[in-house]
Amino acid sequence: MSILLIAEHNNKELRPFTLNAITAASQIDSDVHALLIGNNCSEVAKALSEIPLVKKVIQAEASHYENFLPENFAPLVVKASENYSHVVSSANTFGKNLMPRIAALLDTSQVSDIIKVISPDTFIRPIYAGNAFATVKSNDTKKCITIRPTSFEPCETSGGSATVEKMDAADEVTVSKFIKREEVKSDRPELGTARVVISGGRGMQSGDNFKLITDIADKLNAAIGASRAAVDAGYISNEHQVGQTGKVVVPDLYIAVGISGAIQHLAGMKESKIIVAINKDGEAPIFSVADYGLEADLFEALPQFLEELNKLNTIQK
Amino acid sequence: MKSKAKVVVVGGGVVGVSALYHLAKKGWSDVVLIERKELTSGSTWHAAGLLPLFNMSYSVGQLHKYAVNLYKKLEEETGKNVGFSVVSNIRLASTKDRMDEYHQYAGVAQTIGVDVKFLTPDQVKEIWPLCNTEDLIGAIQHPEDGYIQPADLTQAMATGARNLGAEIYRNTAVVGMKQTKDGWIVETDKGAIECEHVISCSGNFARQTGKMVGLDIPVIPVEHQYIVTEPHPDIVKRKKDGLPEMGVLRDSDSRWYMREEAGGLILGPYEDGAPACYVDGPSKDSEYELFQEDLDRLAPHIEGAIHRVPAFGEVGVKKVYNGAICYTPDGNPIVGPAWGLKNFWINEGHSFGITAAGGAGWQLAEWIVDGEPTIDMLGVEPRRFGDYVSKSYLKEKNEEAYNHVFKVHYPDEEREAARELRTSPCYDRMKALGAVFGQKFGWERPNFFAVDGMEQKDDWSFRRSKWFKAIEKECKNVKENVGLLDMTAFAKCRIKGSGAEEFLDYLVANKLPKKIGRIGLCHALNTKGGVHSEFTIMKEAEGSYYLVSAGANQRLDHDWIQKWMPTDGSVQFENLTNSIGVLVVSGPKARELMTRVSRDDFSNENFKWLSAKTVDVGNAQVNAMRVNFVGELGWELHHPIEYQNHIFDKLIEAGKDLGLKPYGIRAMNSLRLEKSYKLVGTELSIEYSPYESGLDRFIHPNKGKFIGLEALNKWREKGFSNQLVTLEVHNIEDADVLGNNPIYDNGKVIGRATGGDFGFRLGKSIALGMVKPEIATPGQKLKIDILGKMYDCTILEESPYDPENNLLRA
Amino acid sequence: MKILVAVKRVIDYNVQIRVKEDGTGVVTDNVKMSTNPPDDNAIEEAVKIKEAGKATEIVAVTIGEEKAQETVRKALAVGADRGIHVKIDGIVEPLAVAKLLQKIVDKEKPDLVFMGKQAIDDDCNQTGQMLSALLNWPQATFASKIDIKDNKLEIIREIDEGLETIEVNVPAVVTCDLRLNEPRYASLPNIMKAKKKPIDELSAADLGVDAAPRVQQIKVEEPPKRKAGIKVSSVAELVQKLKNEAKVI
Repeated sequence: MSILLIAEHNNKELRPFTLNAITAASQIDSDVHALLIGNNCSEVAKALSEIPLVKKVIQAEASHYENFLPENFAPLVVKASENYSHVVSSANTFGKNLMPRIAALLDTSQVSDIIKVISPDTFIRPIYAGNAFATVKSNDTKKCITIRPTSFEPCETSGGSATVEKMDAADEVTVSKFIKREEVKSDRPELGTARVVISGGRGMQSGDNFKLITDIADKLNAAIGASRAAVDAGYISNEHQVGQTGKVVVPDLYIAVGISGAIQHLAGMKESKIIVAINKDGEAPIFSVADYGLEADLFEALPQFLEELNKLNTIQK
Repeated sequence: MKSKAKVVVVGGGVVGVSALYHLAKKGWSDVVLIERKELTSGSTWHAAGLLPLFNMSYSVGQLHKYAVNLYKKLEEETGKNVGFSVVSNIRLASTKDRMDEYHQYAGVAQTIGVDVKFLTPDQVKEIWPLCNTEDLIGAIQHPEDGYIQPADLTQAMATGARNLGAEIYRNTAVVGMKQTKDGWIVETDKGAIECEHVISCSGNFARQTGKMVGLDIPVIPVEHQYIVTEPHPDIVKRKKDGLPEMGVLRDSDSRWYMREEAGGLILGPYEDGAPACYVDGPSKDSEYELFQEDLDRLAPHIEGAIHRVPAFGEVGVKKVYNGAICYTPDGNPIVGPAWGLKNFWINEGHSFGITAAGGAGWQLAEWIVDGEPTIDMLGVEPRRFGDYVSKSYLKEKNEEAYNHVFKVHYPDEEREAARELRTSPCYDRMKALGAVFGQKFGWERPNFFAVDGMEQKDDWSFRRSKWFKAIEKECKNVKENVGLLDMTAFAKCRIKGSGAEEFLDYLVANKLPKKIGRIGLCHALNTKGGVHSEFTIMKEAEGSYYLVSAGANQRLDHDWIQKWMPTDGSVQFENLTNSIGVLVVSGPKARELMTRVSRDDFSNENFKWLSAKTVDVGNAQVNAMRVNFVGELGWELHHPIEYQNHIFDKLIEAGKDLGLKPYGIRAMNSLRLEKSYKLVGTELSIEYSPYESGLDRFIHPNKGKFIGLEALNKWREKGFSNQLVTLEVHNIEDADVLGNNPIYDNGKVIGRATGGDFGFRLGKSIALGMVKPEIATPGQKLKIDILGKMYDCTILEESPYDPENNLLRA
Repeated sequence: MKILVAVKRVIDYNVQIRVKEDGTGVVTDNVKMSTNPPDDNAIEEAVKIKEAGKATEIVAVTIGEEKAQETVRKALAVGADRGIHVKIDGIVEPLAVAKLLQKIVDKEKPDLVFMGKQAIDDDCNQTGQMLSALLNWPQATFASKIDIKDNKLEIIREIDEGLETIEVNVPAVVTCDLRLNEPRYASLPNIMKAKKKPIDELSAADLGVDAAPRVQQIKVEEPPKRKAGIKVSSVAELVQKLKNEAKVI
């Protein structure tokens, strides 16, 4: 078996999740070949060849591959995949956008976002937003797999010496055109997708007091949330409401301040990776879902929290 | 977690937390609550939070009133806001019957001190400008009620309980319960707790909890939906302009409630076709479960809502909540002692749990700590249902109770689901004679007989309806000839053993009949001196007594007896309810009739009033008891149930030319009122001492110890606040007193009616009522409210029909 | 323009999923279902385009069991004109869905196909891309803004690094992100009216597609439970733990 790994890059360097994808690919079979499609990307080819787990690099270049349009990439990958049993990439937006197109052209039922390799045809993947794990077996002869990067360690990047083979580019497909790309630096992250959320509840006692929260949010580059009670009381506007009738969020870090933790609020945040609760009522239900609970008066704790963060002196990305 | 406590409350919804809170307030701080997940799981969290003060029942109304007052004070006590929006509640009426219902209710409200106003359609419009009032007749408003945030309320009471020393264990599941000598051991997945009392407040898990202790708890939840809309510009504008929230609106005839929510509206209908859910119990992870919505079955109510509040149809539906609400066969919760088990309390089946939780917790705490409740709890008594409540019965009746929430609650309604379950042998014969049946405790009983071309169908009303004429015929026939009544539904039992006499003497306030074959009317008081049960007691033999009481109270009365019985085996209890039938013959020709069907001696010399003899009727051996509830010459024929049709046929045959005609319960009620006879639950209750209820000659405080004697004596020293009187009501047009009508003297409420009807033998409209003792004199003129109109009434002497009891003793 | 919108009926996003004890899947009996949330965005976008006068017909299509019709009814209630229901029981994989949609596209000849970027039950995020490949149309995935310019679409897409703007020819397949728009709520009168709009019922056989799954589900399990948390005694300790133990700041 040989695994064709589609490298994600920006023509200058590899994008980090490619390394996790290579690890995953190598768990399916050790014969991993990296497919590099891009424009003027020889530096990337070199980097790939130095990865010990990569046994061969295939490089295809053309100006119409500069911006990774799937309509262009897919036919080429299909051509390249002729002698491979598996086509693998990371399941970030690059891989999510591209791989299904390849799978359809190969008439293969893709397996997305795997978190574990059991065998070359059996994998574990999360379903229902990670509330369940499914063990699945693909019966297609050629398999298209995307991997969840955070479930695999990034591979070693030096010590390898794979050969780099050139491949002819395919014709340009013009139905789709790249216009531009911009990295978004908004003032505050979107509540629905923020990595860190800090929310205030009725314990904040007034809209003015929410400044204690926004100061910390600035420091953590966090989005600001609120409980229904805080919104009902008029402390903050309702697009900040987290909960059953508000937004459902799954950040890496959720800090609930002065929120009791009614079921309706929990429904909106209990899948957060790490939950912190700050509340002066030690019996508040929020503590039952908190990984770290601080029973304290928030009017003392929040300024202390800001001070401690300043000591760390980091603006979190 | 503690290993010992005085009380364990099972279930952490608003109901359980309230029970815990009230126990702690009564001074019992060594109490704990066990909740399998988080507080408010199950139904509390998705409840709409309405607080209806309106309830037709005297007991439930008092529970709701207490709760609304309590919730107002909770923030001050616990520092936790409960989100109580006191926005008032308006109930609309578009039919005359609905207005009658509201007037009848207003009477109840008066007597329990709940403030309710009648509004005109224009006044409704002022408060609810978005309401279309064209086709309305009127409305009532409760200024004091509104809605609350269920989770906040629960947490506030939890805080209150904890402040007083109570403990709450969350994420702990009860897996079993074992009875011990003095209490219980509650086994959880985190250890066991020994305790004296257990209160079951497990909501949708009620039957599972009951199973752990061998109880078949009559609760199965039903799906209820409510629709939440997005904001409506008119409502948003009202808020911006500083106008008050419009309050909770209930269109009873369209069967829904509506209130504002976050600038939009919530609509909650009580439709036909909502199915029971969790029939075999919820899954253990169902605490946040909601069901698929079904807007199709809400369609007629949605149309009604859009007609009534056009704004409702102008905005989009944000969400539809469909969740489980607990129900019982009659729609009232079950709050009180479990039958057959010591110290096990049931607080389940709450369909208006947010409101009822407060009052239920209050009374249970009184009951557990002081030994008795302080209000008449019969309306929510767990023992008002019997073991005839099978799971399939429950499913049908509970679905019916749900869809009846907004149907007019006629005083004479007989709901149709799950009927013809318990029938006495003569059922078909009675039906052939025109019986229109009702049910009591599952038993089918003829309410009246449709004769002379009348349709064999009931006709419900707050006023006189089609059956008025029917019972007139029946009553007059009893007066002139003889009537036949089926009272098989009576509760019956035998108490015997070496300790039987001593036990019964302690149980009741009257002296027991001394001679074999003698009958006495005896009352069991509760420990506070109020009247709990009424028994007809017949001494069958030395150490053997036959007790008869109201069929509706079978489980209640028999449980009371068995819980007070000594445990040393000197007294044995035998339930005879289902093995003995009862046919009653009453009227001046009763003796003639009996002589024709029996060779035994029915003469007055040899068969005195209040005595019983074994006789043959036809070929059947019968226990003939010379006693009846209608004040005529007559006998109750208690017989092994398999003889019933034989006896029935013999009587009918022999009675042909005596004018023997069957009569029903409604006629019986008219007849007994003319004799000022009292019933448990109306004239007799734990809220009244027997003296207040006019039972003086049945109470013997000097005979020796009996339950309630001490308290009764203290009560008498303190003084009584009520006196039962018989009233004649004048100038009645089309509606007699129903009960719960307020009675006035000089414009002030000085009493309430307990029952009423037209007395056909007297030709007067009669009522029984409790009034202040100072004015309880025959001849006193008063006023009484019937459906919103005032009528003059006069206090009569007790037993206005045949006051000397000449006919009884003939 | 004619817009075909594909919608899927999934377990409501508020429901706490329960894994069946026998491991054969997730409990769906008596569980609340609703439209896959990004599909609501897809419908909303189509309706907005129609309200702006740039589309003349919206057809909503769903593939699934009998009750899947409800999602089409909901689409009709917010503004779709017609519905199609391909009735299939059990799991239908994205590849099969794409093939079925391809056949429907061949019949209906829409100019645009919209759908949510990902179904919140299987989380595959494949269907739109596969359909594009089968049709040989351009694809615009994770769209957070759509502008129609003559016979092209200018789309802003949400990618890991930020936002990407592309231009695709019509006909095209667009998969929608939650941030694309704010889906409107259907009013009750419209919900009632939607019951009268037509829904065509088809089967996989009618369309000549073999919808049998190729990926076998061996078992479904619960993820490891959330560990019990701890109480910290000071803000300093909290920050230290967040940095060094949880590594989230």
